[in-house]
Amino acid sequence: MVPDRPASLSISVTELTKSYGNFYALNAVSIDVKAGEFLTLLGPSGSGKTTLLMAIAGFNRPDSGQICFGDSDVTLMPPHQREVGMVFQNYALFPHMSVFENVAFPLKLRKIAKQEKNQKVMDALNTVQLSDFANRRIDQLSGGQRQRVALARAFVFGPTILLMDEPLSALDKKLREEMQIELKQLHRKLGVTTVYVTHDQREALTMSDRIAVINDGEVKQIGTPREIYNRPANSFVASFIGESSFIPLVRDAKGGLVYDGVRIADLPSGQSAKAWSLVIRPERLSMVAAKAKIQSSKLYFKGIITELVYQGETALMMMETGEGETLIARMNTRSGDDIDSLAEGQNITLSIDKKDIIIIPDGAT
Amino acid sequence: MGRHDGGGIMTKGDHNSRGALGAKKLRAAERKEAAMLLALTIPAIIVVALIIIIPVGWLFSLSFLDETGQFSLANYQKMIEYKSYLRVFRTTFNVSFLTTFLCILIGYPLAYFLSQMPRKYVGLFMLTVLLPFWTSLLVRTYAWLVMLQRNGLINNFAIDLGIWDTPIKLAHNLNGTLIGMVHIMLPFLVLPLYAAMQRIDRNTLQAAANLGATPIQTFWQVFVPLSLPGVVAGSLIVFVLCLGFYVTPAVLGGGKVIMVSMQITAILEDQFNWGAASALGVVLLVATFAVLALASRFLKLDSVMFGRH
Repeated sequence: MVPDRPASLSISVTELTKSYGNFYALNAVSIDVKAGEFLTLLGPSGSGKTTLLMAIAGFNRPDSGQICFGDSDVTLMPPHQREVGMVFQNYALFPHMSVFENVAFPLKLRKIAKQEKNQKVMDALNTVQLSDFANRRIDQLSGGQRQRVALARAFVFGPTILLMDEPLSALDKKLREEMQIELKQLHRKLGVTTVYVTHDQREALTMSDRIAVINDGEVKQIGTPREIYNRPANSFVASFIGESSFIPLVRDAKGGLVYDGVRIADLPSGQSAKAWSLVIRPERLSMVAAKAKIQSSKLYFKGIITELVYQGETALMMMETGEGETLIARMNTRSGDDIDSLAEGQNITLSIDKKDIIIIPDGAT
Repeated sequence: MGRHDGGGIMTKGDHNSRGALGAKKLRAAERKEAAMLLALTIPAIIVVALIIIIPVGWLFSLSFLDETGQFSLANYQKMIEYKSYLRVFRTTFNVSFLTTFLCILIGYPLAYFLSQMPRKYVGLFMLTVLLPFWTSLLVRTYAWLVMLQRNGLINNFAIDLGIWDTPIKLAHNLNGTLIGMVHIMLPFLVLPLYAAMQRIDRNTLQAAANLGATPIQTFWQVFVPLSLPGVVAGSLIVFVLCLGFYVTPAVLGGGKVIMVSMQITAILEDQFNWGAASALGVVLLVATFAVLALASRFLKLDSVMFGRH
């Protein structure tokens, strides 16, 4: 234990660019990760999120830009000097070593005395609940157990930064959800700055302090899970995270945004976009009873049910409005909601609270 | 109700008999399939029997007969009594061991180089390994004789350049034999070794670097251990092939390096003694099997270690 070393370091990535031929994997990406934060890089495959992670780990050298850990510039530092723990997508465990030897590997390289080394390895294995498996060979472990060994190996030497490249993608759904919670708890316990790569939006929402949504080598939005979900900044974020219905809005003469003759919102100030869309999250819509009173705090959509899918805890409904737009709504299947009485082809009115609507500029990304 | 019950039982019985019939049919179909597969392998079995088992068996029986055709252990007794036989075996194993060792020494860096270069150039460099492999063994051996002999290319060149004054004995001895054999055996080591190195997960090397290993530490502590199955497989092939080598030691050894195969030829040509020659062959075969058995214990260990069964 070196007393003056901080438990975690901030990461600041500035104007990072990496191209392969004509393809820009990273295009002037800037991200600041606070010390101790859990930040997720979320994006579809080929978006550049793994390239960014590998650049932070030191496995690829950017064309331009800068990476700093705390105050020190590490852009040109070779990976073995960075003191960064990493969990690889396929775990990358050493098949010729036992579980114990795998976890002891980084300590052995740091010439840590045998007794302290053994203590640290067993502590790390305890943390990931694998202390009984120390002498197993790697090929005797299940996928979930390998994942834990990879994790223990990545934090046993006390790195100030932990990187994870889709560490749960090889696990089945149930185990994945358990591990998400465990990883979050571990992060809280270790307090180490964590950068986590995933293409699974639910995983990102579950685990992160903040999410950076990445596409085409650019950061599309960065914010807390609530910000990203409730206030997507553009159509990519709105469509990639959660389900959304998009409804084009028209500008009226008085500087408002209008759909079907109804003024939806004021024109957002300080934005130059020509066209705007209304984004509606399916679960924010509710059914309106025939005789219910119209409330000014709500927006109403009338239409015909075109599709009704029962999915257990919720039911998915597609409704076509008089204007020909399709709205997706997600309803609870509690008996009170009368979902059972609905049928395709039936007329229905849906409402949404005005606080829940999202206005985004069209075409802007 | 009673009728209903009866009907139920009848249907049940019916199902049972139909089920049994179905199982019987399935078993028959399975047997037929197995028989078909066996039939497909029969030609191969016949070929193996004709060209391996029968001649080897015949050799084996010959080794237990004396010149008059009577059963005797004389051929094996001679091998124990005469020191020259022992020397031949020792030479054979020495040469094979040295060749294998030198092949690893030269072949490992070569295979490493191949495994690390961009894929588009691998074909070109692999060609330089394979080209000699495709050339006749005899041609290559005599080419080495031209290069290595007293007034050969290498000696003349070195003397002209003043590197050494008097010709060095490179051919007609152990030096020449080893140079020729290593050259011929190298592809047998490099190819399986290269394949094993290709199979090493690049991520494990990145993981080692990430955990703080310098490139040299990564190489020795991760890459080399993971490439060992390839080294074992390659050197086993080389060693076993060396044990039965004839042409190269005969041409480049100049009569100073006598391997078992050469001794067998000599006995046949000089004494026309099939029994003695067969006995030598049998002992060589048994020795080869012993090496393989010993090595297979290591190989099995590896396959357990690396999860490849």
